[in-house]
Amino acid sequence: MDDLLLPALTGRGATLDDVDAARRHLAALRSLHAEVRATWPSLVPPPPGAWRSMASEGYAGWLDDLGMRLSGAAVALADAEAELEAAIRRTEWRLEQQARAAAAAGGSGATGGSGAAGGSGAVGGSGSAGGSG
Amino acid sequence: MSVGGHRADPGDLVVSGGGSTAVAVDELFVHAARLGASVAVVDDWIARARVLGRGLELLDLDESVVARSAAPISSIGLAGVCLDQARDRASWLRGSLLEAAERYGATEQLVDGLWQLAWFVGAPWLGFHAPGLVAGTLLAAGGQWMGSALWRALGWGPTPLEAWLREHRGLLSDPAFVRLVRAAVDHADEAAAAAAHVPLPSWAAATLHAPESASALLAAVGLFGAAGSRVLVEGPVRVARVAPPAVEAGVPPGHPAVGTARRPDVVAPPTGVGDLADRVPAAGDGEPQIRIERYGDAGDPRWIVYIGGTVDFGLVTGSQPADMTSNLHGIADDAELDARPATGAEAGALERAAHAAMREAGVAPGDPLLAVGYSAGGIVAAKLASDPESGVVGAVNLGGPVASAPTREGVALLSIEHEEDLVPATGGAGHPSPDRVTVSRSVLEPGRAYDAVFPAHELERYRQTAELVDASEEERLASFGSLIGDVTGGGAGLRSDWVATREVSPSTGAR
Repeated sequence: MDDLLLPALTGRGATLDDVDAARRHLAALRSLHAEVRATWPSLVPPPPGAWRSMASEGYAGWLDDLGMRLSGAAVALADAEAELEAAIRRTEWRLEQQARAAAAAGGSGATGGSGAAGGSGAVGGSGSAGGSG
Repeated sequence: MSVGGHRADPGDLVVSGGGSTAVAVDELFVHAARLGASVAVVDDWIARARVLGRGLELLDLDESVVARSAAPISSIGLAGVCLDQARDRASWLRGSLLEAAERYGATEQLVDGLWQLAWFVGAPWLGFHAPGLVAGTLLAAGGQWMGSALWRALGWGPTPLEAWLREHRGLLSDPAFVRLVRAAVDHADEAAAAAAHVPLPSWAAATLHAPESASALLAAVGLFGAAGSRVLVEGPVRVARVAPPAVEAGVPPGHPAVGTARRPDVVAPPTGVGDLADRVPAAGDGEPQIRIERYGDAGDPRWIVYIGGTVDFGLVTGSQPADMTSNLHGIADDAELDARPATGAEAGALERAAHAAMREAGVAPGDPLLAVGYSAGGIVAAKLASDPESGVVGAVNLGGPVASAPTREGVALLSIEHEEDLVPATGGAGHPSPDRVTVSRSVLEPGRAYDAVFPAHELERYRQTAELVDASEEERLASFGSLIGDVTGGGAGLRSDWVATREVSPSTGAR
């Protein structure tokens, strides 16, 4: 219940606008991740074939290193994508819970506005009931 | 050959010129270009990742979610770090490749400079201190020439010189010997002047190169020409159109070649440098030396002119204009100090033949034109490219001595020169030009014996190298491929073949 009460007490909390913004970020993140995942192998030239020497062997090693950095970036972006999706789901769940709590409180004569039931109220927000949507 | 810190295998293309002092195998330049493109792409990703990270930080999610949403922010930050490192790696690798190519180019220039210095000092010394040796060499050469003529007349088979050349043909294709010749031809003037005890000022020594040497030689023999000699003396040329070879019968119905079977003068457009090389006329007595193709309609004609190589290697001027006389005049044409006008000499016969054939074919001044030549034809192609009155948009030289040929701003000259080929070296060291891109390649296997005296100069080998040029992703080479497409427009062309003949006065007794 602390998750629901604390924002109500402090006056801070996420709104559906924030969730929408997070979704937009998720879309941009997915786009970047898809591009990085699909493109990074083509950014690394194949090991040299026409010239061979100690230096070219070292160069091939650096190309491997370059590939590892790029693939690492792709993996990190995949993680970020999954984590942001989870964060959005948690926020939505919390908004739902808080809206129910607010509705229950309203039904028993307590004040506190309609909250998320209005579609965009802040989670536990004090002044955004029936807000901007 | 070691290129850019790497050893280029036989068959690799080594690219130089085009406004850069770097020399390297084409693959190295391709890698550098790809890495440069990678840097740009990764830069974009870094910027986008930063925007995303900042945006998530600014999102006013509730506290508990902020605590958890630190995970995506952290992962995006990690991705940004990886991308930063990747960008730095790619940028560093690209710089290292180009630096290696520059170092190799500088080393090449240094080596060439040392050869030039050695000849600069050695040629006058040789000429001044050993005029007897020079004169003796000339006399021996003359005697050899006369003796060979007698030898042939008596039907005794290969002359001693031919036998010697065959026995030592490996030397003629040795890259070190080719380099020696390249430096030596630039200093023949100094040796001759010193032999004649004529002081040559330093500015003149620096100015006189292969073209001036050829010019001086031709001016000298031109004096004999006035006395009736036909050695290296030019004459007028005429051209005649001949029917192209018939297209083979038996083309299956529906095959794209069906249309051309009825019209052997209709040709598919060349798609690359390999196709251009394939269409250069092969040398042969009585065979066409020049081929011209017209693309576009009559209102917007665009042309490709192909000029074949030397047919007659003799020094006595005959009816074949693709001969040594034409070659020497072609090289001498590039001389800043041309001694020939005093003797009334003309431009090379093959060049004049090409101009005549182009006029007959309908090429108007300023028409877009691509010139392609092999060996002696390469000299002509380079000359057409440098002609300010022509509409030449590019030229391809296959093994011709064009290092000293002037270039014209904005007109690309792609010069393909085999490492073991003596012929391009006879043009001297030349001068760098942003419009000349030189592609060299080693084509002979070390230690292997070849039947030909100059195996690296054979047209077939240049055709193979031209195909490799098409396969290369190197930026300068790829852009030349685009140029071919611009000229042809992708449509079929009309072909004409031309036989050129030098008019030789019967009174001279020449062939």
